[in-house]
Amino acid sequence: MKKILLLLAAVVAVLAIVLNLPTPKTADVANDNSFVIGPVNIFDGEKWREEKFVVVHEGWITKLSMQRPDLDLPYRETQGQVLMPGLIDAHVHVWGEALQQSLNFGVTTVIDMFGDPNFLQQHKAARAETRQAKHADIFGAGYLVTAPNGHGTQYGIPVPTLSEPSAAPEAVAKRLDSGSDFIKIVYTHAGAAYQHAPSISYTELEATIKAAHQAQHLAVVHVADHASAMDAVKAGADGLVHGFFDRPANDELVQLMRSNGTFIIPTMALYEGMLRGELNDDLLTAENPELPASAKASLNKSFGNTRFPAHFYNNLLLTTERLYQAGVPILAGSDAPNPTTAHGWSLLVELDMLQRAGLPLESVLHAATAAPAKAFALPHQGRIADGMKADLLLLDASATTNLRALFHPQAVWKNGFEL
Amino acid sequence: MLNQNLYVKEAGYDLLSLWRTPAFFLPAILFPVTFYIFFGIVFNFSSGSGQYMLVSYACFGMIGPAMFNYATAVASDRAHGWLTLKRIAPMPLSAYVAAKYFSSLVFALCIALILFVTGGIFAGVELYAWQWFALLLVLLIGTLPFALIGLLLGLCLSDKGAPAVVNLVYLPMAFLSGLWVPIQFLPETAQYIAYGLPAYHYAQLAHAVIGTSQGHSIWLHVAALVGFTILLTVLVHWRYQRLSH
Repeated sequence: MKKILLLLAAVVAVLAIVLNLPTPKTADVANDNSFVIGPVNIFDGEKWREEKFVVVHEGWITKLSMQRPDLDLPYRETQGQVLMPGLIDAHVHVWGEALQQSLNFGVTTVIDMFGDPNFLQQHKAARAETRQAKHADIFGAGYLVTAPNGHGTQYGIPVPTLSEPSAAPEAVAKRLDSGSDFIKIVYTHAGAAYQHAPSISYTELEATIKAAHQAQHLAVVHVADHASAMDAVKAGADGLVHGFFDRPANDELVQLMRSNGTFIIPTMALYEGMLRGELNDDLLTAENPELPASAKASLNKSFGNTRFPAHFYNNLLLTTERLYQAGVPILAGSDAPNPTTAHGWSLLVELDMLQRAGLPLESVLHAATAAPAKAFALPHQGRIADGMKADLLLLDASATTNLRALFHPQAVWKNGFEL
Repeated sequence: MLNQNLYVKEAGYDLLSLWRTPAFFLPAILFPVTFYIFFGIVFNFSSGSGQYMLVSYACFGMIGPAMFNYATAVASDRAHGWLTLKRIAPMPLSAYVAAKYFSSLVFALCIALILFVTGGIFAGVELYAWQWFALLLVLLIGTLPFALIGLLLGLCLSDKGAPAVVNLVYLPMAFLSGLWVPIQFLPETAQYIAYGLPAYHYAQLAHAVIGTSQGHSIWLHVAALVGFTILLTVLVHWRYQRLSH
């Protein structure tokens, strides 16, 4: 008898413990990600709109209208603040809680430039759904394409390497099979000013880009200097995922990129951290955000004893300005969580840098919304338009002229659910 | 009737004897919890999210006690002559084995619950109720092959050698199965080795509950674990026969 009571008590205890463990909070789906919001000043990813109201139905944007629509939906009344698409960080490396951290800064989509294919596969389905989520959507390259002992192999991750041009189609096929959304390649021009790790040859670069295009996918290239950038663009790259600062972009490169439609992700926030290391402190002091421990950790890491000439910083800004003036698509990417960067936060720093390079406010916002969406053909992200996901930021009305308003969003929606 | 009572009694007394050696069970429970807090929460440098690390370290935490409990207890019992005494007693030996499994399950249950609570409070892990229960079930039932490994080692080793050899089996197996550093970050050869390790299949089943497995069919893992269990049962039986002669 005593034994049975003991057993019963044990079962009750176990049940009591397990049933009280934390569960994800689910909202009332029917109402919470369907609503009308307005009146707002809408930046749709490309330009400011005349419409003042947005209708969201089960996490999808369905309508923009001038007057408040007469619909039986919850109404979020605003007073003329700015509504814009959630931000897209076009160059990150994601693991752990990165997607959650990014979202907390208003970054609703990230483009991963080298990461675990399994992680990417696990998060793919969520991209086309509007279930409640506490993390950003991810599009990614999976494993990058690099030479034996090349950049990317130093992290202890088993990256397959490319040793000859004829192996390129197979390398591309393997990556696409494992879930890559596009192909990312690392390349350094032979004899370049900045000697990186061993690199694939120009022939291998060409072959890989060609193979990616034949498989109907984008090929983007990591370069770190002018000569490598020139090679990559000549070889047919769809985009460069880093800027460079050894010299400002010359006319030939600028014109070639413009006529090829090649985009660039300058990652100036990263380079600022490398070259000067002041902007983070300035912005942290000025804006005083709440940073999680992991963000502080990666921000505080440094590149070690690197000494670059002071004018490299100016080269960086000049190149971005020249490319922008020529009409080359500029995309905002942070390269988080490399040293001096942090997920989410560093995209905001990058936007600040883009403004310093001379881009007007609308172009800066465009670089973090519709531009990457268009460059990477993201189906439901980066714009406020019918058929897009309701990934939204509500900013203070001053955001029409003051970029810093982005550091203090009044509200963030992911899949139509307010965070 | 008598038999059933015997099983229950033996199980109860085994549990009681465990309860009366806090010097054994307290560290044995605290070790996986401490390991999880250190490497799963505080110093989590690897790619794991909170959920992922909890599952990995829960698997790690369950395998150890299952193996140790058997190996050290059986080796010690053999050395002190208890096993011989129990064999000539009217109690069937299977009761002895079953009783030990029961107490190792109770052990495992305590560890699992403490890990779940730690993960829920300190690592912000949130799972649906069915996931918590499913995870608990998978973790508990899956300790069987490891308990058998422990039993086999206990029957083969001296009581002095047992703890050291168990560690030698336990820790590399856990590491190579992706329980410390997630499997996708180990070199490719390690991936192939993992297929032959029961800890890998055990962990994959646990990860399947929260959707972070490598994507192989769960039946593959179940079959692997069942296969290991059968193999180990045969080996244990064979070793036991040899001991009796």
